Amino acid sequence: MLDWIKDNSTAFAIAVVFHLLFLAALLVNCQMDKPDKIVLKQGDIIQVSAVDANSYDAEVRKIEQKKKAEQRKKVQAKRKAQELAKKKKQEEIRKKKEKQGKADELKRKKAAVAKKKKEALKKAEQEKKRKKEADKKRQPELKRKEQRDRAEREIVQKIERNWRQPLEVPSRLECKIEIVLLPSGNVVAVKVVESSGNQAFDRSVETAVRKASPLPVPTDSVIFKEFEVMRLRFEPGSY
Amino acid sequence: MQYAKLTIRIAPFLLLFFSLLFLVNYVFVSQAHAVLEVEVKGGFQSADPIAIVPFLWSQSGKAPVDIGSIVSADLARSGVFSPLSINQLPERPTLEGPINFPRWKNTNVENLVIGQITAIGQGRFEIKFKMLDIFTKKNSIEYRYNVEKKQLRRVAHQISDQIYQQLTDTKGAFDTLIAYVVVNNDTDPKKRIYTLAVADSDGYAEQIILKSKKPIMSPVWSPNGKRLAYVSFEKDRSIIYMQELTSGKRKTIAKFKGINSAPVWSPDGKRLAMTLSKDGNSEIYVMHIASTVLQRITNHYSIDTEPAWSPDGRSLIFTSDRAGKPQIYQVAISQKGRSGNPKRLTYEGDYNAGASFSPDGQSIVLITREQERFRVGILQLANRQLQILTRSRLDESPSFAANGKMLLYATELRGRGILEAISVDGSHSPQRLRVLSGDVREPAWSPYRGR
Amino acid sequence: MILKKLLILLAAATLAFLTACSTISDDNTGDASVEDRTGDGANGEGYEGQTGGYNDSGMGDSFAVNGQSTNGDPLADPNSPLSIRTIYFEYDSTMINSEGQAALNVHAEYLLLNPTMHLVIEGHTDERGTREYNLSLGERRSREVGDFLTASGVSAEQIEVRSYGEENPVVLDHSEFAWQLNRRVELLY
Repeated sequence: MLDWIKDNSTAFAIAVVFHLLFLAALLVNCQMDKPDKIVLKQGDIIQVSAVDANSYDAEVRKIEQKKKAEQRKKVQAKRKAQELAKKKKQEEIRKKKEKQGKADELKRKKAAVAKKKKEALKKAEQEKKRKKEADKKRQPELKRKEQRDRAEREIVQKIERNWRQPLEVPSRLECKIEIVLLPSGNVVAVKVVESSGNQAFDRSVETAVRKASPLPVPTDSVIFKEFEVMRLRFEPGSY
Repeated sequence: MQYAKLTIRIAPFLLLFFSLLFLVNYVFVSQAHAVLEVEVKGGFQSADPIAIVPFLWSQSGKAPVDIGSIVSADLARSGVFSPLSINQLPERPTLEGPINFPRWKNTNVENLVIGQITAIGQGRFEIKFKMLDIFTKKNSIEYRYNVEKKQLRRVAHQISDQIYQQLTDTKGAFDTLIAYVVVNNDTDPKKRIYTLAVADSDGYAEQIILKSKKPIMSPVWSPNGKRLAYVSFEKDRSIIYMQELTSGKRKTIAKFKGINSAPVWSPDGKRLAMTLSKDGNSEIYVMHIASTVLQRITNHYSIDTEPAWSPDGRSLIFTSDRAGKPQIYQVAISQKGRSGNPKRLTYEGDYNAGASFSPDGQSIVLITREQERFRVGILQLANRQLQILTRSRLDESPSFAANGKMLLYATELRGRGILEAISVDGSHSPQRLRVLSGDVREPAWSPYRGR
Repeated sequence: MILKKLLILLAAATLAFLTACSTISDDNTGDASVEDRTGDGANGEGYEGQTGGYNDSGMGDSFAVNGQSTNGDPLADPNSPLSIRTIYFEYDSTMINSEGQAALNVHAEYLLLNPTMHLVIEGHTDERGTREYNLSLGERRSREVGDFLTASGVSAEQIEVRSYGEENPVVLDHSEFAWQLNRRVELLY
C-alpha cells in the first residue's frame, strides 16, 4: 500500500484534496442552490455510495460465511483422517489374527467387499456435496456475466444511437477512446487513445459518448468496477 | 459483525474516498490492469446539426449585413451541415452572456455559433464570433475582424470557412468566387443579351464582367484568381480573350481562322491549353502566354477539344471522338509539347466529354450520357469506377470547388438554366444556388482567394 | 406525315425569320450590333421587310436561275429555290440528306455564276452534350456543307466556315422538336 502511494504520489495527493473538498461539501450539506451541474454529480455520488455500502456489507457477510464453511470443512476432514487411521490399525490386528484361521476367509472377503461398496457410496456422496457447493458458487458468477454482457450491449447501443458520423470523411477510419464513468453512468472523462487521423471523426466519437451520457452501467457495484474505465473502438458501419 | 457496523457508518466516506482515489488515478495515471474493451460499429451518417444565433447588433437601425444568415446558408449549401432555423433556436445567447446548455442539448445540435457586429466609426465594423461545443462547453473557435462595410459579406464567408475547417478537418471554399454566363431568354435571338458575371460563391454580390449581344462561353479562372479567360462571339466567331478582373483590361489571346475556344490555364499559370481549328479541324494546342508560341498537341482528323490540365501540369485530358463517339483521352505534356501518344481513359457509355481533374488529381469529373440524359459523373482514376452524381437530363459544365469537396454545375429547372452545388461523394442532394434571372450557365469556381 | 409537313412549314417560317435576323454585314469585320437590321419586329410573314433588308445590303442585281427572271435580287425572291438556306441534320450526325443536297446544288450553281459572292456557312447543334464539343460538331457540319460546295466547283475563297455550336438556338425549348430545328447549318450571303 505504502509503495503504491509512493508510486502514485500525485494521484494520491489529488485524491486526498478531492476527498477533503467533498467532505467539506458534504458538511455544508449540499444546500447551496447552484445552477451548475456539479450539484447533480454530487448527488449521484452520494446515492451511489449508499448502494455501494449495502452491497459491500453483503460482500463482507459472504466472505465471513465462506470462511466459516471452510473451517467446518477442515474440522470434518481431520476427523475423517483420524477415523481412517484407526480403522487401518484395527484391520492390521485382525489380519494377524485371521492368518491363523482359514475358515473365516470367506466371511472376511465378503466384509471387504461390503466395505468397498460403502466407501464408494461415501465417495459418491462427497462428490455430490462438492458439486452442489461449486454450483452454489458458480450461479452468481453466471448472473454476473449475464449482467455484464447486457450492460455492455446496452452501452454500445446507446452510444451507437448517439453517434452521428460526419459526412465528409473517408471510410475505413478507426478511433480508440478511453472513457471514465461514474457509478451513475455519467461520463466524466473522454480521452482519445488512438486517433483515426481525422479530427472530425475523432470529435464525432467523443461527442457520441458525451451525448449518450449517462450510460446504462450495471447497478451491481462489483460489476461496475469493470465498467469504471472502458476502452471503446469506433469503426463506421456500412450504409 | 463489528466490522460490518463500522463499515456501514463510515462506508459512504470511505468508499467515496477510495472511489475518488481510483477515479483520479485512472484519469491522471495510466492504468496497469486490464480495461474493458468494447467495439462500436454502428452509428449513422447525417449532416452536422449546428446552431447559428443571429449576430447581435445593438446599434440603431438594422445591421448592414446579416452575417449569421449568410453563414447559415453557406453551411447548409455544403450539405455537410444542417443549421437550425432561427425559429427553432431555444434561446439567443450573446458572446458574454450565460448559455443554457441543457436546453441546447435537447435540440440535438452539437455546436453553437454566437457573434456580434458593431459599427466602430469611420465606416468600419467589428465582428466577433465564437463557436462552442455544447457537450464539452468549450470554445473551439474565437475570432475578431475589423473591416470596411464592403468587406462584410466576405467576412461572413470567411467565418463559414473557419467553421467548416474546424468541424470537417478540411479547408472551406466559401470565401471564393464563381464566374458564369447569363442569357436573358428572349425568343428573338436578336434581343438576347449575354452577360459574363462574377459573384460570391453563394451567388450574391454579382459583378458584370462583360455584356454582349453575341454568345459568351467557357469562362475559366487563372490559377491566381486575378484573370478570366473566355470565348466571345462578339465578332461573329469564337475568339479567346483574357481579362483582368480589377482593371477590366482585356487582351485577345487567339483569333485564328476557325474555332478559337476551350481555354484553360496550366497550373503554373504560364500556359494556356485551347482548341483551335486553324489547321483543319479542332485540335488541342498549348500557348505559352508570354511569348504566344503555340505547340500543337493533337493531330487527328476527328474532333479533339475540351483540354484540362492535371494538377501537376504534366498531362492534359481532352475529349475526342477518334473512336467514333466522344471519349476522354490523356496525353503527357512536357515543356516542349506533347510527349507520348494519347491514351483513352473512359470506356463506359458512348458519350463522355467535358472532363476536368479534381484538385487532388485522383479523379476526373465529366459529362456522361446515360439513356439520353446528360449527367455529371466522377471517374476514379485508380479503379476506373464511374459514379453518376446528378439526376437531371441536361446537366453540364461541372466545376470543382478549390477544396475538391463540392462541384458546381449547370442544370435546368422548368426549362431555365440554373446552377446547383453538390458534394463530390454524392452523399446529399443538390443544393440550388440563388436563382438569378435569365438562363444561367457555365459556372467556373475560382481558386482560393488571397486574404 | 402531318407532323412532318408541319415541321417543314415551321422550318420554312423559322428560316424566313432567321434570314431576317441573322444577316451578316457584308463587310467582313463582323459588327456585333445587328439588331437594327430588321427594323420592325419581323414575324414569320415579314417578307417585305426582309426584301428591304436585303436590298440594303447592296447585292448585284443581274441574276437569273432556272429561267426565273426577277427584276431584283434572286436571293430576295421567296419563290426561288435559293430561299432554302437552312440544312437540317440528324442527331450527332454531319450527313447531308437528299433535301439538303438538292438545296446546296442550287446554291453551288449560284455561287459559280457569281464568283464575287461570298457565303458564310454557320454550323449549329442542339443543346445536348457539352458546349465545346458541340462547337466543334457545329464546325464539322458547316465544313461538310463547305466541302459539298467546293466539290461542286465553288471556289474555297467564296465560302467561310463558322460554328456557333449550341449557343444560338432558333427554338429555345428543351424538346425533341426544338432540337430538330436547332441542328442546322445556315447559309448566310
